[in-house]
Amino acid sequence: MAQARRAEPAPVRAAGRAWREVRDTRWGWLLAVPAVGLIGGFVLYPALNTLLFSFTDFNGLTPASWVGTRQYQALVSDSVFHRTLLNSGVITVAVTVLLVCLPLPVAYWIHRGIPFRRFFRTVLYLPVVVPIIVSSVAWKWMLDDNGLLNHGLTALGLIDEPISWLSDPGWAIWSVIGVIVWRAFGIYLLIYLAGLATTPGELFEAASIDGAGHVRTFFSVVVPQLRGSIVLSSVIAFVAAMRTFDEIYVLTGGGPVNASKNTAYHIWETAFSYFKFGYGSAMAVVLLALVLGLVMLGLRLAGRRR
Amino acid sequence: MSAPAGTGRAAFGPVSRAVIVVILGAAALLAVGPLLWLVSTSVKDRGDVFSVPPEIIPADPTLDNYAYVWNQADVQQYFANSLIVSAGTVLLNVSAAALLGFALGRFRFKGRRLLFLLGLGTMVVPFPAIMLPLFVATKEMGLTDNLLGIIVPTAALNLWLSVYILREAFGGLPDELEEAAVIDGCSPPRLLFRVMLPLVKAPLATSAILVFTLTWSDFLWPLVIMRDHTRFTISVGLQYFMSTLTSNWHHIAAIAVIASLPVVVIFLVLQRYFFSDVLAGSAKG
Amino acid sequence: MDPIQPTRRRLLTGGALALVAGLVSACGVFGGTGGGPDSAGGSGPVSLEFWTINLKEGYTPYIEGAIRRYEQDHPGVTVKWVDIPDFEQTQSKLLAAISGGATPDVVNMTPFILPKFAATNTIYPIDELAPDPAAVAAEYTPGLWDAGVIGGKAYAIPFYGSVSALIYNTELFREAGLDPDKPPADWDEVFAAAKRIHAETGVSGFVQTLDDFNDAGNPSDILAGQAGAPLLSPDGKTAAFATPEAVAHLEQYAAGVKDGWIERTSVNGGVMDGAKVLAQEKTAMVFLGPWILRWLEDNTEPETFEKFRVAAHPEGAGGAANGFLQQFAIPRASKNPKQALDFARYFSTTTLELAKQAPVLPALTATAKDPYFQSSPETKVLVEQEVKFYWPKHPAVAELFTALRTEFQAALLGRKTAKAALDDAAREWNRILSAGQ
Repeated sequence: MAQARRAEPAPVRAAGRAWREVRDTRWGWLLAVPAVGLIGGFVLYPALNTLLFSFTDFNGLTPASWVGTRQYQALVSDSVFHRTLLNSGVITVAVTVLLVCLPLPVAYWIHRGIPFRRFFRTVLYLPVVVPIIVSSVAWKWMLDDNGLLNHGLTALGLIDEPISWLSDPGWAIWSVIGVIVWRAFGIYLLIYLAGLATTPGELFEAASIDGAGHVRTFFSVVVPQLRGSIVLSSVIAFVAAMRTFDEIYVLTGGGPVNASKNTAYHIWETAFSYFKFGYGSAMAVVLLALVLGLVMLGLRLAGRRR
Repeated sequence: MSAPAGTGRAAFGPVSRAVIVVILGAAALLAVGPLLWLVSTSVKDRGDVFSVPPEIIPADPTLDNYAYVWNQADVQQYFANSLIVSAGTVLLNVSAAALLGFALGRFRFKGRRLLFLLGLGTMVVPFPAIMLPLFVATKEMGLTDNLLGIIVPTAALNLWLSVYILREAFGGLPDELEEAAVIDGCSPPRLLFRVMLPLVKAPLATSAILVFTLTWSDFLWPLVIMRDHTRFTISVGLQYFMSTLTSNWHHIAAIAVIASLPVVVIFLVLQRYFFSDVLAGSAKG
Repeated sequence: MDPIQPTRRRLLTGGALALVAGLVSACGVFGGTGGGPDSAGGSGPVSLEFWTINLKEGYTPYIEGAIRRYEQDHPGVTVKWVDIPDFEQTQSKLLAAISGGATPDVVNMTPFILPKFAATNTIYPIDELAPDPAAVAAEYTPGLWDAGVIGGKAYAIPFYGSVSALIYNTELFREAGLDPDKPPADWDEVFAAAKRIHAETGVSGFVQTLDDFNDAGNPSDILAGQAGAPLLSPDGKTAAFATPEAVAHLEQYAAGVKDGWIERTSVNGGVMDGAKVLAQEKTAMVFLGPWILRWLEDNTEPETFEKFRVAAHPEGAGGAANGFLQQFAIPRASKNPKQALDFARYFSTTTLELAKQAPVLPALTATAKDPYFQSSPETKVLVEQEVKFYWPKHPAVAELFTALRTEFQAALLGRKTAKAALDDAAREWNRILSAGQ
């Protein structure tokens, strides 16, 4: 696994400088051709159309008219859209934090050797393999007022009244987050275990000889060693959380009272259910601009720290 | 698979071990709870789908549901389609990403930062926002009638995930490796295929398993783009069993289990690349 | 017929984005193709693409058999059948197909999406294809036919329908001291029975989910069917449902959810979640089409299933039971629209065969008279109840329903009074209705 190292090329030795520059530019772009073709044809190109749609009243069916920035103006006062942005933020932050942090100690335990480690490693990965649409429906029933979760919590004496996981506006978004984390946990565990597999065991021995306890070893050896994996996990979790759609589609439909509707779901609903592609496209453009702005800010801050 | 390198025989004391096993046991129960319910529902013959608490071990297990769904017209076809689509997507995605990841990780060329950021931007485009123009573009290329119509766009939509992973991986390889190769007169393709690719097996496996998982469970795009239902994937096909008029949960559970098995197998096969000691220390920075 | 062509030209005048537009159009993304309306009929081999929703699993022999018979009777015509697994996804797939110029010839629609396609003139009105549309209309049950009439023109051939009925648990009725042979006949009785069931047995009296894509339990039925409030003003331009009767009725619902005699799943569940609560015997009544009995039979123990019984839908102030309908429409892009219409009409004659597998309501008057429908309680409730579609025939119907459902949720959760919720919903409806589209 990649380690804590920026992805800069090897330092250029003065001798080969000119030769390397020519080689790098020629080969760099040559190697980029397949990827650029794919991204250009199947993501950027449709995305440009989306940008175009956002300045029209396109309904998906009939000729559109140019409406200038009308769609964007309408977004300014659209409280449902604002709510979905907030929900997207909550889901993204919560999912990213939970998925980046929770699997870390588990990976450490499994790596350092506990009984049944292979069993745990495999079992914790299993939710990843079940098709989302099925596991989400299964969860929908587990989370019902009369469902297994309430039954279990009541039996354990943890709650008196069943909790309306999906129909209480306070809980609905957390139920969505919980199911996402449940499903994806194994992926992040895997990334960390892969990272730990490339960590020299001597580091742990050295820490142990120094008399470091597990907590200190965890923070002084594991976390720094896994920095690359942690950054990778953050990126994957962030991207996946921004795109959350399936779980909302199955579990809550965005309700109740829009409490669990994120922007991706709202865009889908606006475009494909309300036939307002122009408006939905404007939402997508605003969302993308916000996210890219945040990513740039994050990169700049991260760059400054180094 | 042996114990991880350098792990002391008693990394945790007996009390810590017990606590950890209890915690992980609870986590494991939470992880497989809904899946146990699915598996147990799939081997019951009728009824009792929703009772609380459910009867996890059926009195009279049967494989009839599996036989039923497997023999339904097209289910085997969906299954084969899913395998082709997922394998094809992984191949296309990881190959393209490996080339670019190698370039971004090792070469210093003009525009690389912009290229990387632009690509990263594509990862956060919400899919519903581009679905309609993507459909039109894919159709214009004549891909609505074969599985490439799923493979190519899906590989593209998840491309940067792999590019990101592999850029880090190639960038993290020791510089001496490259210098030695260059002194030997090694061309970039040779450097990539002979020297470096074997050293990034773990990241390649990570990308492969991520993309495989994403592709395997994707249902909206394969449904929208394929005209002919003999080209649907299993995630689309299993929704036929979830229809309102007919949803028999014994059948849904059986097909869900069938649909999950290949990913389990892929995981079990690929996991040795993650955990084997051979890799330890080889991809170091 | 290139539906998006004019867009391109207009976009090109868009100044700042001309470059982008040029790029886009140069690569042909906007280039849709479609058949002409005059290419209808004709000789030579004809190929029809036929889309249904959700009929593959369990009904394949029926569909394929019916197609084969048609092909035999019409040499030269071949029918390619595509079944879409899910209602919501039909819409996505259809939109994509139309944008890409790859439309089917006959497509299964619902009254929920039909108005948008009619308003955008992307489907044929029947009178353009049939020499005598009135004669066609006369074959169908008027209520079902009218569901496809928009602005005075029919746009759809009804396929099959369903009528909401009362499905209840006789055992829970007995436990609560209610007579299982006398299920509640109107909404006052429903509420009274529900309160009693909750008080006596602890489970909820009924579940009525607010989900919008299914045949029962949607807010418009609560307003128009149960409380008798008209959804729209006579001119169709403003919301008219915020009547005192509707407020009083919704207050009952809010009280029911709060006190537990209405199942809380109603607030954010879908139809199948409601059915599941019934299957678990955690609620005593549900208002769904009789097809749900087949599902209950598959997913509950035989001894549980025996407790369920079907009865007529409780009478509401709207005067008829809420209905749901599957229709066929002919997209403008069809190359053989006349043949397509012929096929659609033929297919609606085959529904008796479908009804024998699942209790659904046939659209043809003649089929509905078949003695089969008198053979069991679940088929009787189909043909003996009067049906109405409490849906506004408006292109923005999906958006209107979302607005209504959101406000209903607020009311049922006690976040707003019933009156405030209905007033807010009406305001939102007026905004959507005036926005045109």
